[in-house]
Amino acid sequence: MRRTRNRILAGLLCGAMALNMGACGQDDSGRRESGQIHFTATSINLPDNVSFMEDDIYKAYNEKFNFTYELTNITWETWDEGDRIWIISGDMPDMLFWNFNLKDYKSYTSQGLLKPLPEDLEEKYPNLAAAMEKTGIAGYLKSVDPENKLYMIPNVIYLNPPTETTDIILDPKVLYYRKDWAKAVGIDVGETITTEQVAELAKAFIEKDPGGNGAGKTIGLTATPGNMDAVFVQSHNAFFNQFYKGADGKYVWGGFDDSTLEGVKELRKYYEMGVIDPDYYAFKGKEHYEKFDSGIAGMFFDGASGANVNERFQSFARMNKDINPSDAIGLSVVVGADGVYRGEQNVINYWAGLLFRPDLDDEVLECILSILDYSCTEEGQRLIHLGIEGKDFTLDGDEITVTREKDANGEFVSIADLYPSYNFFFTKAVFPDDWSAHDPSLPKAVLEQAMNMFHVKERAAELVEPDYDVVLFDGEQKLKFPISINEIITEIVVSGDDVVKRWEIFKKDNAKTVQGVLDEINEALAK
Amino acid sequence: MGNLSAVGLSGGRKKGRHGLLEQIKKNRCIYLFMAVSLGWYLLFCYGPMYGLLLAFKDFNASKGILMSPFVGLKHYRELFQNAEFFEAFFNTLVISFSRLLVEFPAPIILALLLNELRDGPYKKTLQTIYTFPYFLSWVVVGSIVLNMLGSDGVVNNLLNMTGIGSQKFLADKSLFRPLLYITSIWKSAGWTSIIYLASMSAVSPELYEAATIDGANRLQRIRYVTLPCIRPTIVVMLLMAVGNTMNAGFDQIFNMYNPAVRSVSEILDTYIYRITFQTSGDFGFSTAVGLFKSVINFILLFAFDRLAKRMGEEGLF
Repeated sequence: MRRTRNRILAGLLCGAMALNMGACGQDDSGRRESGQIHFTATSINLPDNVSFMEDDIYKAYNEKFNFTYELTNITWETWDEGDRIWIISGDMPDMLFWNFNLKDYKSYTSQGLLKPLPEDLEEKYPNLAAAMEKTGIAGYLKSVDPENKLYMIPNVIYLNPPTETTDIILDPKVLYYRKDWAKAVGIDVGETITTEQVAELAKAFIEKDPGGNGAGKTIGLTATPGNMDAVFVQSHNAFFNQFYKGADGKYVWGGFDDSTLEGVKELRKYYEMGVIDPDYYAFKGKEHYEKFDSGIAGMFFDGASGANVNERFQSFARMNKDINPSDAIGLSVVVGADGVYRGEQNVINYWAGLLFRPDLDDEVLECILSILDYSCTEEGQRLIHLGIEGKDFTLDGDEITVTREKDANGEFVSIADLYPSYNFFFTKAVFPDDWSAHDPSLPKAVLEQAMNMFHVKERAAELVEPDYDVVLFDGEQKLKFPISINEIITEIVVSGDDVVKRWEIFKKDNAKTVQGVLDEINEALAK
Repeated sequence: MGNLSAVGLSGGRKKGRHGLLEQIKKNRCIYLFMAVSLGWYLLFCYGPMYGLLLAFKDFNASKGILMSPFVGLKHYRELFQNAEFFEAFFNTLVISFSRLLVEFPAPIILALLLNELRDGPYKKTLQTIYTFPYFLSWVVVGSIVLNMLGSDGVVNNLLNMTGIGSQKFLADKSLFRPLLYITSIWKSAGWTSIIYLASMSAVSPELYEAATIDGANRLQRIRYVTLPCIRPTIVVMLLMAVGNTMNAGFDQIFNMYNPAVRSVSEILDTYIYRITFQTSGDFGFSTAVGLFKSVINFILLFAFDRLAKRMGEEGLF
């Protein structure tokens, strides 16, 4: 009896090991017996416990391209390291959603860790090629390769710029504030707001407590450390975290500019006054959303594409069922004391990219590229963002009428909830920012408010073309540049040390490193 | 030693190779069991050590570790010119030695106190309470600390109520390290005290009886009976702690760190993590830092082991 049991157990153990080993060595991408192409891919923040191959968006794609896919979820927190390990170990999925950086790109391509895109991409996938062209970096990446090959599809942010008068991509961040609170404390906020006015408004929110949180419980302004710098330091120096060409044609580093120090002093002043979130330095994620939605904070600073604004409004509505977000939330562009808008500079029209494993079958790559090519068309974008024609929307010439089902609040149910495969398609090749600039399913007031912010910025800024030369400069010292100006600023602001003395120490400690990079850049680029 | 004799190791040395083979044959079942764990060690602990070669190579993933080009001490030359590395090294030493001074005695004291309690439900309840935090991850403890010491946390609310006013505990560089030690003691002292309690339970009751007859009070019994009897355990634990000096607590610091305290919180492990996965991605350089850390650990362990032996203790080697 015991012997039989032992044999059964041993058999089961061997079977389990064989299955495990089989699974480890499995590489199942390629054409299946059914004729379908199968591939693996990663995507950000995929929902749990849903099928990505049963909804109508996937079915519509499948009808055209006859494929199945296996998706792996990645999270923002572990995205970079996860991708790096996948690529280096040679275990990457067929298509990887990757946070592009030039140093790693050059390293991976020189080591043969990525598959090059086909040379006839422009002829075979014209829509994809046109979208890549609009990123501004596809051509550059091709030019820096010794064999003139391209190994990444950069995701374009805007196929068409959100503003009519300029092709320059504007920094999307704005100030979200409680419009109802501002009214209650008697402060009228316009389309632009200076940093001093931000502090005044925050002070009024804290002292008059229109949210009824209790004495000392209201937070004036909350944001991540990087965005707090964007409010107070960037409004003094748009290049505070970048290398840029000075008036004499030589490159300098904005981190060492006197105007950056002025911004740091201002941030410190307001931090000590208590008008900004006392815990902002410890934020690791999106804590500011929760503080704003729960009515603790009166303002936050963040991205404001049409989709962003709608998401924030919906999130607020979920936490405040009796308040209409359009009545409660206002948007304003933060400007310097001189009224000039200084957003992040050198914003290039791409974000992240798609990489392919080096031994990927050509047939699979062709299938993926065909899918992406279709996603770049107007029809593909409509399918991804509006759903199924005839069911979720109707098209009469250029006129789109959204007929998607609505929720209890009378808002359209989100596409992601109706069609889980949206979570895969919406970040591939074209980013949702483009569609959200004219998305007919967004509430008109929300969309107009978001788009108006871009126009306000256009009017309040001195628009400068991105300096591709320096942004994409790949000198050894620049690629190794270790200073995180945001971390330094946070440390100085919160430390309580004398700002000027601490700033001088920072400059002295890092002068050699910065000069090394500047010498390298100026030698290569300065005219 | 008794166990070694049982499997014939001590005898085998005298009888030579022939005798050893005979002993192995005779005790083949025991050797078979040993072979499994030995194989595990070779495969999973010693085998991967060839990766240390990366410290002397420029890693090229397509060529692999062995075929990547050899660059000698290039990474170490870069390392010793790197101010960030020295800051991390200094912080590691300060935090680790402070842990030895502050944290190491805590479980011993706790065990001594628990040992003085009579066996029963009260003692067991206390032991459970003290042991429980060990099972919380540092992620959870980090959140607890944030909720306790944040500007709207329990402690600051109490301070506000008493009129003292809120303090920026988490941004205060002078408080970060003490906070590490306090939370570490809170989390681990109960668990580690189990080892000392086990050692104390082996102390002969006759010694306590003799001491009591000699008129020793409770403190004197602790000082002259308990502590000397558990000294070998304390030394072994101390040796292990010293051998772990360069591991200053990655999980804890990673979860409690914020940019405001960066200059006092960056240790070698967080530095390696950052340069490997978040910034440069230079695996050769990262391995060089890791190897440096291990060598220092080994030197400290070896030196302290010798010192312990000179002081009459058994040591580890």
